[in-house]
Order: sequence, then structure tokens, then C-alpha cells
Amino acid sequence: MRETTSKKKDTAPKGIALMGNPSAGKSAMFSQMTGVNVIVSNIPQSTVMVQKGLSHLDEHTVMVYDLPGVYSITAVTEDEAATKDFLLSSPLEAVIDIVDATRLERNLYLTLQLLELGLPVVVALNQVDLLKTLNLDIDVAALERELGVQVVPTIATQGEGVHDVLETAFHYADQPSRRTHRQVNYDDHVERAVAAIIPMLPETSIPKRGFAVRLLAGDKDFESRVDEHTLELVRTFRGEVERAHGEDVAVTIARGQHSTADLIASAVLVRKVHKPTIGERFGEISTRPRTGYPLLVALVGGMLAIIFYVGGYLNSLIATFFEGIVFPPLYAVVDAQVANPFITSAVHSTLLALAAVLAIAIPYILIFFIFLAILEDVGYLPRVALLLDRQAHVIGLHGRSIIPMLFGYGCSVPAIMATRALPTRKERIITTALITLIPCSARTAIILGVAATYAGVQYALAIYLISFVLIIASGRLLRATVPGRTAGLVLEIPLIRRPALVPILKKTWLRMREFLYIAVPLLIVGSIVFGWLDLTGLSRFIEAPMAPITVGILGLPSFTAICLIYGVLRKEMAVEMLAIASGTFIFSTVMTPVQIFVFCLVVTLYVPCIATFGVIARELNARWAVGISIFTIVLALIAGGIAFRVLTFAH
Amino acid sequence: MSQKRELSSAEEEYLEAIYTKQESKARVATTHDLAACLGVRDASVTEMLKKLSEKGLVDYKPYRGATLTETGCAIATKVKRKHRLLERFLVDICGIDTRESHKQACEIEHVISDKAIDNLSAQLGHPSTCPGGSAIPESSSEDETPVSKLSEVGKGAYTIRFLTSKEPETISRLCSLGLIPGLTVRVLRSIAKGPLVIETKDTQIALGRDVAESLIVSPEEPEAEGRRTRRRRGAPSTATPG
Repeated sequence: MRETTSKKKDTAPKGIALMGNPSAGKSAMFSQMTGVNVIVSNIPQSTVMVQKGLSHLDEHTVMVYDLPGVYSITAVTEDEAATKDFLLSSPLEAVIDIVDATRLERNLYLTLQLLELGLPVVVALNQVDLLKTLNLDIDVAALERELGVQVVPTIATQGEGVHDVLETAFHYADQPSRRTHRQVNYDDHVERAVAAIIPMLPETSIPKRGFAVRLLAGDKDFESRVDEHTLELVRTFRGEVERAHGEDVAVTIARGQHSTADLIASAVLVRKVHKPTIGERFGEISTRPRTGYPLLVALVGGMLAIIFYVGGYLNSLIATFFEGIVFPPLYAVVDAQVANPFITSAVHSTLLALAAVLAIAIPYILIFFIFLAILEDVGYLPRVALLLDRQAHVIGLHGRSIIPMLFGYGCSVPAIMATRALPTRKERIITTALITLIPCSARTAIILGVAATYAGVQYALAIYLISFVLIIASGRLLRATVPGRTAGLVLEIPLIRRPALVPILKKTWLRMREFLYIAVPLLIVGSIVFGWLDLTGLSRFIEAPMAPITVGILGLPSFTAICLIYGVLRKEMAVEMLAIASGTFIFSTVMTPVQIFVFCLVVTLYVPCIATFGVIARELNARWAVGISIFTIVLALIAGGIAFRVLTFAH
Repeated sequence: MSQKRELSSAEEEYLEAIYTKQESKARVATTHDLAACLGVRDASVTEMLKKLSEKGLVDYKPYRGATLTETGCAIATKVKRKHRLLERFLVDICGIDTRESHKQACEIEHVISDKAIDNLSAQLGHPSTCPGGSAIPESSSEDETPVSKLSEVGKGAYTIRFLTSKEPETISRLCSLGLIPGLTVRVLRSIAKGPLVIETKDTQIALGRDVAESLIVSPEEPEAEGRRTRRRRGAPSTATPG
């Protein structure tokens, strides 16, 4: 689409890319520049695809691309590959490299790699406000001199410097004199090899020195751009350097880049000793095993308790408000005015659906999203990955997979997308399959709002326990059967940040909004159709064929068949439709506690919702999506069938 | 470094001379050979051999000659390695002629540090022979610096020596975070049978135990650590021992 717009002269959007290390502040910068509501999190690698948005700079329009956070452009994970691919294939006006001022040395490593590839870099020195609390100081003018690029100090979360950096990037091409960029000094063997490779390279937009270094490092994307003869020679040089150093050439090259970054950082950074801040103290407590595990248990337990009690209170408040105060007069008016039974049925169904969304979904899902946003924002989640790394090995994973799985307690779709940051395909497959078994917020609403409320708290806990046991068992099974291998945990632990109210509310609202926009129309339509099926008596044609499963295997009332079908669309709809099918929210009047338990258990486990199915098909492939669905259906029927029989005998 | 002993330049020269004799198929270095080689009187040789024998560096049999003990041989090998690498450096890089280079190498070899010579060797591309064609012994520094897996060490500062991982994903990830040989890291925390937390370049990084096993480290030298501690910004996690 750039081709079509770039023909226009002054108004043509100039493409500017945002780059940077994970959690350096790219997404915050992006949402400041474009106003597009990108979800900003304090988790390394949370931007999982290239996002774009338009920004307005005086009378110009600028297209801004937000790239996934990467530590380097060597492309290990799919995120990194996507970033490199984008940078090399898109004609960009400028690349804004967001450098975290509090981790200057590490971030400059990427900057040097970008410069080496001849990209038009402007540095946004971000989070400069944090330097004061850490008693650090950076000489910005000296950094500009050392790097040979323009450096703009910014505080992306507050919007400070954002306009300046965008303006600098926009006018990158107009810079009066192009400065010479800082080059990485490699050791003699690498330099000699690079000098020998350069004359053999084809003319491209990439500087030959950078091209030669990437070739020597064995970068596949660059190897495919030269002929076999050149490759052969590169391999010879690589062999020579590796013999001389006794290590992988990529390590030798990385050492050169890191030491240049170190030199620059030590030239511009002034350090003073400082007292640990509150955030650092909390960070310390949260990772020390003796305090970290109790804190984790307390946080998770507290969260569930608050969701259950506060959510439960709101739930009953909203339900009684609608059923007692709002509905009776409305029903009376509609029944008196409209004669057509199809229309009255549709109105009843719509009202019931709206009440179901408000009463069942919102109290539980909203509160969960607020908690998740807080934990994400302060930077707690990577600490959970650290604490649970050892436990994750039991199911063939490592701590890094824990973060997508925690997202899974919110919603499976973003959770599965977050698995892109995992280094190997085997890990992605196992994590994705397990995420579908994790009770997402919709299922939490079912477990807490239905099982706990109408069957008893012990039943709700039993569902959590069963799903947990099944996750472990499935993980072990998949570890043994999925081909491939897993890499170990290497994860940055960010500084603990003070939670900021506005981003948390914004993030919660974005997630809620998506839920409301998709769920509510679906539910209203579903509800109306259900009402009509009931009115015309067609519903028995669905209930009867499914009776062997619902009544036979699971021991449920036959009207639950349609609920289970709707549950495929969205999990919480199974319960909302249950309210509609049974005509009441008070499920204990139409089902026994055992039936409520079995129903909730099956809904929790069986086939991922349609959106999850779609995302698995896209991220892995359709075969895995079908396979995982069949696996979970079988699992749900076995678990539900056993639970029904055991509990019936026990009573 | 535990068995480090202070030897004079002269003592090291003697060990080196015996080493050279033994290398050139003579199994025993006689007093006379050594006197001729080092340009000293026979009596001085006898006296020195007795001294070295007391230190457990040579086996000295009067009127027969001397052979190196295991310890003596290790020291001699190291000195010889330094000598020949220095000759290479003086001839190839400094453009000094072979005779002069031998003289200068004889003086520098006693003062240059092991680390400096290892780095010089790397810079020269680990040459296998000296300008005269004699073999340069392999570095023995790995035997002397205690090395261990990062997963097995306690809290403190360590220098990464090498990576043993063969998985490209792991190597690449470690490289991009700067966890490469030569870097100093500080182990802040080690969860029993679980991951470690290390600090480097102002960042805390969680490393799985399996990854930590592939990082071979040695304890940071005390003076270098002092410098680093001053440079480091306040370390929250070392403030309270856990």
C-alpha cells in the first residue's frame, strides 16, 4: 500500500518504524504518536506483530510502524524474524530506535547493529525520568557524538519528547550533513575476513561492511542473497576465525558489538551510588524464594477470593436489579402492546441476554482484567516465570511459557498469540494446547458464577483442581509425543514500575471493549434464535440427537445440548444460554448440584471457542486446531462422565 | 592458583632449559649441558639444581643430571609457551630479528601475566610454532583457574569462560543479551533445582538451570571485582542476603 500512496507528493505518508529492546517503551511511544490504542505492557516481547498507525505532524501525515521488541536482529524467535524482515524489505524514511536509558549498554548493542545495516536511525533515549531515581546521568550530546546519530531524550509514557523525536525522524533526509556513524571494532581476524569478503558482494542498499559481518555470522537471510561461490569463501573465512578463537564466530562478532556498546556507554554514563528504591525492594522480595512463593500464592489466592466475593456480590446485585426492578414493567408493557409471539419472544430474549452479559460476565471478567493489567504494568509476570520455571519443567516447558499461560487465564486468543515469543516450535505447540485447557476469564465466570454459587465452593475448587491435573497430565503426554526440542529459560526481569492508573484503565477498557463488541451482538442474536427454536418446538430436533451424550454420558438435562453448542461460539454463552433455556438465573432450581458441576466442568474443558480455534489454525495450522479440539472434547466427555458416575454413586 | 609459588627469573630459566633438553629427546639434562646452554659455571648449575630439587620441581641425581617433576614440568611448559608466543609476536608484529627476539622474550616471559599471554595468543591466531619452528605448548590456564558450571556456583561475581551449549537458539539468545565469554556476571539468586537470577549490564536476567549448565565460569579476580562494584549502580538484590 506504500506504492499507491507514495506517488502523491507532499501529503504522502512517510514510513517511520519504531524499534527497540523488549519493554523499552515502543508501544507507549506508538500510542502517543498515533493515538491508536495499542496494548502497552511491561513484559518483554508483548508486541507480537507489526502494528501501524497514522500520525499527524504539523500539516504532514506520517505512517508509523510498531515492531516487536528484540534484543538483536539475529532472528531466533518469530518476532525477531518478523522485525528483521520488515526492516530489510520496507523502504523507510527513518527508524526510531528506542533506547532504554536505564539499560544503556544493553540497548546500544541493537543500535549498533541497526547502524551497521545502514538504516536511517534516530535514537529516542527513553525513560530519562527514571535516571534520577537510579542516580544515573547520561550526557546526551556526548552520546550523539559517539554514535554519530541524533539523540532525543523522551518519556514516552508521559508523551514528553515524542513530538520532537517524530519531527527529527521525519526530517531525517533533510539533515544538512550526513554524519559518519559509529562503527563496531571487531578483532583482527573478523576485520580481515570482512575486508576480504567486501569486494565479492553485490551492490545493494545495505552497506557492504554490515552485509559482510552478517554473512560471516552465518545469517541465513543474507546468505540467500549471494551466490554459492561467495558463500564457499565466506565459509572458509568463518572456519579460519573460528579456529583462531576456538568459539562460534557469532560469539566473536557479538563480543565486538557488545564491547563497542560498553565503550560508548561508559563514555556517556555517570553513575552514583544510590539507595534501593521501593520498586527495587519489592523486586527483591518477589524473586527471593522464601518470600517470593508465599507472595505468589497470596496474590493468586487473593485475586480469586476478590473475584469470587466482589464479583459474586456485583452479580447478585445486577441480577436482582434486572429481574426484580427492570424486567417486570418492561415485560408488562411489551406483552400488552405486541400480539406477535415471535416479537415478544425476541424482546424477552434480548433483555435476558443483556442482563446475562451484565450479571454474569462483567463482574468476573472486568475484575480479572483489572488485576491482570496491574500485574502486567508493574512488571510482576516475568517474576512468576522465574519462580515457576522449575515446576514448568515437569510438563516439558520452561518458565517463559508461563507468561502466555497466565494470559490464558484472561483470554486464550492473546495468550496463544503471545506464544510467538517462545524460541522453539515444540514449546509453542505444547503451550498452545495447554492454554486451551486453562480456565479463561469466561470460564472463570462460569466456575465462580455458577458452580461456586449454585452448587457450592467445593465444586468450583474441584473444577480448578481437575483442570490443573489435566494440564499437567496433558503437558507430560505432549512432551513425550510432540517432536522437536525445547530451549532453556533466558528472560529479562524488568524493574518493578509503579502502577499508573490511566494505562491500567485504558488496557482494561480495550480488553473489555473487544469482549463487549464481539460477545454482546452474538449473544443477542443467539438468544433470539434460541427463543424462536423454543417457541416453534424445533429445539427438540437438536436436543434429541444429542441426548445420548448430554443425558446418557453426562447425566445432564436435555436442554443443555443447545447451551453446549453455543458455548463453542463463546464459552460464557453456554451459561448465559443456560439461563435463557431454563428461564432463570437460579440454576439450583432446575439442576442438581452434581448436574451443575458436570456442566461447568465440561464447558471448562471441551473444545476451544471459535476465536481460539481460529487463532490456533493461524498460528500453528488447521490440523493442530482440529487435533486440539478433538483432544479436548474427548477429555471433557471422559472427565464429565466419570465425575457424574462417581458423584451419583457417592450420593 | 592455589599452588602458585614465587620463582625467580633464574629459576624459571633453569626449568625452561631442562624442558628444552628433555624436548630434544635427551631424557636427562646433565649439569654440563645446562651450564653450556645457560652460559654459567657447572658449580652454579649444581647449586641451583639442589635448590629446585628441594622445591620439588626437579629430580636431581648428582653426576647424572636432572629431570622435571610434574609440577616443574607444568611451570616450564608455561614459561616455554610464553617464550615462544612472545618470539612470534616480536618477529611477526614488531619486526625484530630472531636473535634479538629470543633475548627479549627471555626477559618478558617472566613478568607477563597468564591472561595477557592467552589474549596475545588469540590475537596472533593461536600459532602452533615459534619462528624457529618449535612447537608452542597448548594453554594450560584452564587447569589452573578453577572453572565450574554457572549452575553450580554460589552468589558472587564470575567471568564467563565459554559456552558449551550446542543449540543455536540458546547460543543466539545468550549472545543477544551479551552473555558471552569474557563477560562478568553477578549471581544474585539461585532457586534450588530451579533457575538463577544474574545481573549484568544493569539488567537482571533469569536463566534456566539447563542454560546455566552450559555456561562455564570462573570466579572474578578480586581487584577486578572491586572496580566493578564501584562502577555498578546500587545493587538492590545484594543489599540483604537471602
